Amino acid sequence: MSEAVMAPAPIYNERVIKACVIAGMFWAVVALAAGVYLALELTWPAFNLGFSFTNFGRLRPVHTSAAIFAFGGSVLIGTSFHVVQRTCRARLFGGEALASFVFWGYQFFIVMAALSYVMGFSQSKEYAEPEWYLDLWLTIVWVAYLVVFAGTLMKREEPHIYVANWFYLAFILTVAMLHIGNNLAVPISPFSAKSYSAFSGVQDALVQWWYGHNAVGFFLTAGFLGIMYYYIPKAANRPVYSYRLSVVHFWSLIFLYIWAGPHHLHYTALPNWAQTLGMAFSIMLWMPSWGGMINGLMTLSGAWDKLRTEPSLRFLVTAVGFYGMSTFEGPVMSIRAVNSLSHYTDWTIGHVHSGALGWVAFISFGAVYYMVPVLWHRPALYSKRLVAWHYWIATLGIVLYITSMWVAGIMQGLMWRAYDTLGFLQYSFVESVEAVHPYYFIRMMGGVMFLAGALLMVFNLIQTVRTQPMVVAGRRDAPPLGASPVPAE
Amino acid sequence: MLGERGFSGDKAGMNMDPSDLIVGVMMAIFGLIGLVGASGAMDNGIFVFGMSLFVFSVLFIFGLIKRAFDRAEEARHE
Repeated sequence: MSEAVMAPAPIYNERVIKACVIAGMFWAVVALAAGVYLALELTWPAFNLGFSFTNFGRLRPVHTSAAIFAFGGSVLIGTSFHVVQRTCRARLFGGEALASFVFWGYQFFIVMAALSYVMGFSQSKEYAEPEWYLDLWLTIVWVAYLVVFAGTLMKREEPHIYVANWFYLAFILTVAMLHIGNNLAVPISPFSAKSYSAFSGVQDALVQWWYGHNAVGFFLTAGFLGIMYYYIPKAANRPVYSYRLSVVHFWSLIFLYIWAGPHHLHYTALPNWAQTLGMAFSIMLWMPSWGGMINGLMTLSGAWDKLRTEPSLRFLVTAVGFYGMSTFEGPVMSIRAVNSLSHYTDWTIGHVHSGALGWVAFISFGAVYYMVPVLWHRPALYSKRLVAWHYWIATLGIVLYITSMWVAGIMQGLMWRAYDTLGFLQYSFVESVEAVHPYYFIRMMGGVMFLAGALLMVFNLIQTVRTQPMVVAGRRDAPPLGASPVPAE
Repeated sequence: MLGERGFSGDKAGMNMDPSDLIVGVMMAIFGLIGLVGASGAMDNGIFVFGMSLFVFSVLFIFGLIKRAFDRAEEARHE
């Protein structure tokens, strides 16, 4: 349907989206600053300072949770509310209070989780560190989120559900399933923070990595693909390259991802067939991942010149490039023979950060750069030049980060497996620690650059709201081209 | 809206949405659970969470009340 024949849109709930944008940027800075501090601790361990609450073990989950759940989660909730209202031409279901509960309840969870980590409480499950009482609270908030999102879809004025909403819905539903499944635990008392997992031994490990890898697949991939399918077409003012491909992308991705977790448990007590199954499904994931990447990039066919004029687009498109790169590297690392070299080394850290910084953070930055002038009704960003500075500083930061970790990781892997002629290990562990020191410094500098870029962005966004005059809503407020019953191809 | 004589934007009252009421009651229950948890806490984790949940619930309910009055004021000025 063209904009000209559309009925007037309802008054959308933008208050909660604005709150999510502000919170997202705040948590981005917190997460990146925590990351830089941890990189400093790894480079010079004296920075642990001797306090229990500043040691690496307690601060590391603060960094990962702030990056994934606080920054990523706030951006996902905000963009999903932005996208679902505009593509359904419906105000958020459940009234302002329920949407507000989702936002504040989620922020409360994040603050409480971070506080519990520094106090020393943890389930010791990667990316699922919060104890049982916080898991229960998050479940309540997440169900409210599902009610708001699904309710809005159900009361939509458009007959068609735009593909970005499919990805968001898969993200919300699957994260609920994973969160509940992996956090089944028995507290020692309703008045104690300590609990024991319902699973034990290798079953516990399998459930944990079923959760862990699908947190990557559904939180960090499916949700952010929802962003890709809305904001790239909007920023480029072009329909999605192939709507049919986006549907194939969706179903193949969600079918394959859920089986890939066991590749985290190569060479463990997990039965060999289960490890092989995880590896095989990880390799098959190449297909949907690259299909999606091609769809995102090809959306710019005939509009590549917009990279020069639309500041958000540069971040969005580079993010898709990083998505392609990290979804190529992931399956390679899941191959058992490669994993024997890469596992437990810094190669994994480099891989994770090429996805986290290059894909997740860049696509979030692109979406936020796009959204701020729309939400605050400003004609444009305060400074395109600052966006360009941000882009290049951050890109260089990522390059420093991931290349240093590749070199460090492969070196570690090779040193740990080297034998001398008598069959003894050639290097002691501490020699491998000493060898990676320069690369840890380079990684820290990469992190500092990425943080500096984010601070430039925050300044630019504040100035956009403070100094730019207000304007009435325009094209940017309309649903994307192709978000109609008529296929966009 | 809950009707002309209820919380709905009549001259003197608040402009309350049904979801305000449902979420408000929910938050009151959470606040009570927080207090009970903090009162019997066996460790700092539950104590801090319980007290924070109580404070969070109270602030959230105040936020709901404030927003309802703000809406009523806006309606009067329209």
